[in-house]
Amino acid sequence: MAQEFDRRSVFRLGLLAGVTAVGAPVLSSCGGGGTSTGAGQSGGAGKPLATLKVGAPHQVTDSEPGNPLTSSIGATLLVLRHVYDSLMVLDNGEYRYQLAESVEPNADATAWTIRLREGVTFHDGKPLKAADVVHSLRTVGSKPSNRASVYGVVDLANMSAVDDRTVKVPLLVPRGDFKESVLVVFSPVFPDGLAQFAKPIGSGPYKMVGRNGTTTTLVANEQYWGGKPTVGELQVVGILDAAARLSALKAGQVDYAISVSATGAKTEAGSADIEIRRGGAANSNALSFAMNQQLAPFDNPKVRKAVRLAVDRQALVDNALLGLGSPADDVVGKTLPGYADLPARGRDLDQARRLFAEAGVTKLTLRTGEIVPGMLNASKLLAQQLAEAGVELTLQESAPDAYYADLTTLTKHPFQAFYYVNRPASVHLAAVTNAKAPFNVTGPPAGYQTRLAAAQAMADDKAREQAFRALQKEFYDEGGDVVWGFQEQLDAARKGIGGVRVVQSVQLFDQATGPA
Amino acid sequence: MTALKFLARRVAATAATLFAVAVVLFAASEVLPGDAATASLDPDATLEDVARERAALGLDRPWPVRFAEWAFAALRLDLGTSAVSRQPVVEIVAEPLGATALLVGVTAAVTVPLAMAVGLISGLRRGGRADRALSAFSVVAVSIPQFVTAGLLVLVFADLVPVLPAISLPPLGGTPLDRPEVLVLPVAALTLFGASWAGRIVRAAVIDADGMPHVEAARLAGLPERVVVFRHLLPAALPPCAHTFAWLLSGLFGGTAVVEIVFNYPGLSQTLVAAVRKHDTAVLEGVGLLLAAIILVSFVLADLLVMAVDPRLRAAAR
Repeated sequence: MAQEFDRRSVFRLGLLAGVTAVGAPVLSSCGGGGTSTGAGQSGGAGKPLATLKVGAPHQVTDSEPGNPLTSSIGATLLVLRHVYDSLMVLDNGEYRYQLAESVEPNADATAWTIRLREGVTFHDGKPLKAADVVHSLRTVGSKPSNRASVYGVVDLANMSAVDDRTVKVPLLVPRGDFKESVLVVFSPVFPDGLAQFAKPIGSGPYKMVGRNGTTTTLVANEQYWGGKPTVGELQVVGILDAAARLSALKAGQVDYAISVSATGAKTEAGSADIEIRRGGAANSNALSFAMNQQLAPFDNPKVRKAVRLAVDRQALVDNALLGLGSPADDVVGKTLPGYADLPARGRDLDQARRLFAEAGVTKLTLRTGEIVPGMLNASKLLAQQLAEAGVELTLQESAPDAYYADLTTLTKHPFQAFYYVNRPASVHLAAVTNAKAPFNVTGPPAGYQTRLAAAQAMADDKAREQAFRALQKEFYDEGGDVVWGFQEQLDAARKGIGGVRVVQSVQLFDQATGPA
Repeated sequence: MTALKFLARRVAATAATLFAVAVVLFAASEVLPGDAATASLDPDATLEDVARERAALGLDRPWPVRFAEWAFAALRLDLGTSAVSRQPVVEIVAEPLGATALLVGVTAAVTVPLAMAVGLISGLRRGGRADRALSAFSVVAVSIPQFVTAGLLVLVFADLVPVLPAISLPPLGGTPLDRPEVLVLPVAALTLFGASWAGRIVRAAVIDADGMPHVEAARLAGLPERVVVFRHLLPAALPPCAHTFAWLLSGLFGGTAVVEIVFNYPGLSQTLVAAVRKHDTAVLEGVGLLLAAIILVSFVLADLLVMAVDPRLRAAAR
């Protein structure tokens, strides 16, 4: 229940952040739902809605919704995405411009030029200008913004407005992946000078009109440049507990419940009034048993290979995730842009047994905890699967709240349960497997780090994509992650609610419709 | 004068206790692995970012220094700012305090008379059919974990027979009082436990008082039962009851976490739990001290009440 909520929130930041999206924009559901809609297109077969109430995760200590400096997850993120537009987003499996019209690098990718879309106005009626973008990026790129680290490579002080529609962004180091690693991750835009976010002003499809307790009320921005929203009033209701969100939906207090538990989803599978919407691998957590290559016995590539071959991924998904997920193949980013389409990893017990014997490994210890629902069960099942390969696995259990708290412990454990947000491989590898990342628990070698840095600096899109594919292959063959499954985002909706898009793991309701 | 002296002593003791609570909370928050910098870590952050954040929050200094700083500010009623949401602690705590006070107030208004009635009925007719039925019910109600009780109430009254809301959602622009039905299930869940538990203790107090010589004397003197109960028995049973209800009230202030989560009632317990998780020491201290103060004050009030009804204590305090 609530236990996992918090730590997930940290990682969901990544979601927000970004970038996850969307093989099937309307969560592929049990039959229902509308069609895929981009901003401005029609909202499917249903009727426009006067009011829609959405229940979303929220804690009392979360920041006020609409504040881009302390966006975390759930309700605060949902409000953020409806009130503000971003320069770029990852939508329907591709990187798209939203407020930007083009983003071009100089020859060595050390400075980028952002050209802005014309005809965009903020909720206060003022037109979007380059100065607004400079102010916004400086604000979200420096403390106290909790996403400041996204802008670590940007020379914020020397960023400038060239003219009303052009922004020059110098970088501190060459970065060919500036668009996907920075702008797509987090780039909300608000008017120049706005520093107090109690009354947020953006250019998005909804204006925030008020907040009462845990409910935030948004009304449609009739002048929205991307098309008039189909939902007149959107109420975002913060509800801490997944079971309470489902109860509220069943009692008719909300129309859509964001993030319900797998058990809840199974229980309601046959319901006449409610349908469960699955996020697919595109909107999921990638669950892993991470082996640290710097530490024995995983410094021996045979041991890493043996563990990868001993694992029965489908069995883990079926049992620990109640089937509400899909098997993974050791690399994050499946179904997202830039994935190297690596072959499915099969189980080979004989080879695993032989490799373990050659390496002289008969015992292993796994640090684990219920960091996401099902992780403990998965760990117990892993112990059985490794036993079949002749290795005795001891589980060393930690409380989920303390699991990530001590960063030194994280880097000292050779083998631990872990999870990532499923993001495009290039973004994930760059953020998580680099030597300075706190969550680098697989310890890739120095050569890999050099190749990663080189790939990030490549200005040419094709060459960079190739380089990242090669890195994925390297990680697949030699890396330390046993990413075994994608745990899908599960939502529940009143039957007949359609047109809900999921962009970067955030549900967008501006084109949602009710039963015809 | 004597009551004043008593009060002065109690206030001094209360202040000392609050200080001790503040130290313990701060130390406990230090002992937990990690800190606010790691608890709100961005997955795209680097280790240098973490160190910078830690320095920015002042967490790189030794804890006694930070405690002293916090304590001096707290003396000036400045409870600091949340490390997570950057809002002043007073602002964060105000709304949940109001919500919890309402929930506890309504619960107490139902629970106290109910527990007195249950205790009196079963205490005066102990062994009778009513006593046996009430006792059996109380034992069951006290033994069922609160999340089960709350879940069952939702299942029955919001799902099977949908007459009440499943979560406590106040109307837009209003408080729960504008839509009192949202309070029914949370109050019911708390009352089931509270009245059963307190009822058992009231019953024991009534039985004890019933056996006292002056109650027996009143009965032998032929006074009507009503007079015996209300004039002689109840005052004797009151001291243990007053302390029971003080316990109950203070327990309710800090102990409604389960009910708050099931019904999404945004109260103090939720805030406390979230503050612990996020290593938000300022919020933790704020809520913790507030709860400690409420508990201490409710016991002082209970003592004063007992003094008021018991002439022997009034004399002893002199």
